[in-house]
Amino acid sequence: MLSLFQVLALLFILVLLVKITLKFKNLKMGLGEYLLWVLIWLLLLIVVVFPAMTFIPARWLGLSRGVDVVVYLSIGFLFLLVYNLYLKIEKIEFEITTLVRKISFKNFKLNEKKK
Amino acid sequence: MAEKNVWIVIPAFNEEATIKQVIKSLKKHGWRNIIVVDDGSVDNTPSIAEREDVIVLKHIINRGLGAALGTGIKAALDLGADIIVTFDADLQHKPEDVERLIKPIIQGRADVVIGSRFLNKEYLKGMPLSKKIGNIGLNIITYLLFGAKTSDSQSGMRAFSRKAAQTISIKTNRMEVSSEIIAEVARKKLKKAEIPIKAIYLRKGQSVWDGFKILGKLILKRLME
Ligand SMILES: Nc1nc2c(ncn2[C@@H]2O[C@H](COP(=O)(O)OP(=O)(O)OP(=O)(O)O)[C@@H](O)[C@H]2O)c(=O)[nH]1
Ligand SMILES: [Mg+2]
Repeated sequence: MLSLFQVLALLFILVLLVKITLKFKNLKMGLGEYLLWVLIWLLLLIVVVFPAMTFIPARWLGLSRGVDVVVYLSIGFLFLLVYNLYLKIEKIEFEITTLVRKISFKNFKLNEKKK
Repeated sequence: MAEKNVWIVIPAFNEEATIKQVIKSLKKHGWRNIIVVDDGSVDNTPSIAEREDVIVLKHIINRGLGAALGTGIKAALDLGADIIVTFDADLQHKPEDVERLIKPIIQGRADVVIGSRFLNKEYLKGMPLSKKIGNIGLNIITYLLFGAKTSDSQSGMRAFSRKAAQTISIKTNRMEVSSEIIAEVARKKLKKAEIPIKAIYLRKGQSVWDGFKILGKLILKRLME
């Protein structure tokens, strides 16, 4: 029998799988990125339905409990995600400044011509 | 030696109370090439500056000190500057110091000159204690994170040779730019000189909290690069 938590988690994963599939179909996502996300969510699906399975990777990694593998992987994944976001934001900030600078030069030249 | 083409860059954010006097006093000391970068002020800073016969570049939104300096320096380079001086818009700097500031560059002794508030004990008297601590703290942080030594990492008064201005790359947008410049000078192995200046404290300026924001940004920058 599945617990309530498992049912909710399954629903959550299914919704996300449908969402990214739609995104992929609408050409808003590349094939590589799509497959990566599908793989991640499918793995999570397996873990939710068969939590006991996690003892296998735990063995390889020398961890005593299966959930530890999930927790560590999640933290690592979140860290990568945040790092990626940081880089993206930095890039956008840089681009905004470049834009604001270009506009300031352009407006100055326009004003000079008017004089 | 031929007269050097010196340009003064003034970053200004909501400085309507002081910008006119800053420009006028610089002109009185013979500095005619002035670029004011209005950093998206919401007061009358740009219109006041525009009445003073200087170049006014206007950021349509506020992007911070680093962005404003970047804009001013790029414009000065485009205008053929040999030496570029950065000068605050809040009357903290004394125009008579500019002459001494650029001397090491003219004499070929330095590529970058920092106007340091910490070289003369007499000059330091007017600085509030919290700022003394904050500034010294950020000097230490700048050294620890970037290996760049200086007696005043947060000074707004600096001079760059044309070569230095072209070599230094400014990537940060806000107040952390001052430390970034010091770090760049060390990284690009430019010759640095420091001369004592006196800064005047009339109004609010940067808070202790702003200081911690600089600290946070510098640590992030170091970690991520
Ligand atoms: N605060 C602030 N200043 C800016 C900004 N963009 C340009 N500036 C200019 O940067 C210069 C220095 O800003 P201040 O806030 O006085 O910082 P500071 O001189 O390092 O700090 P204090 O010693 O506390 O005055 C001034 O000429 C400002 O007008 C911005 O986004 N915020
Ligand atoms: Mg100030």
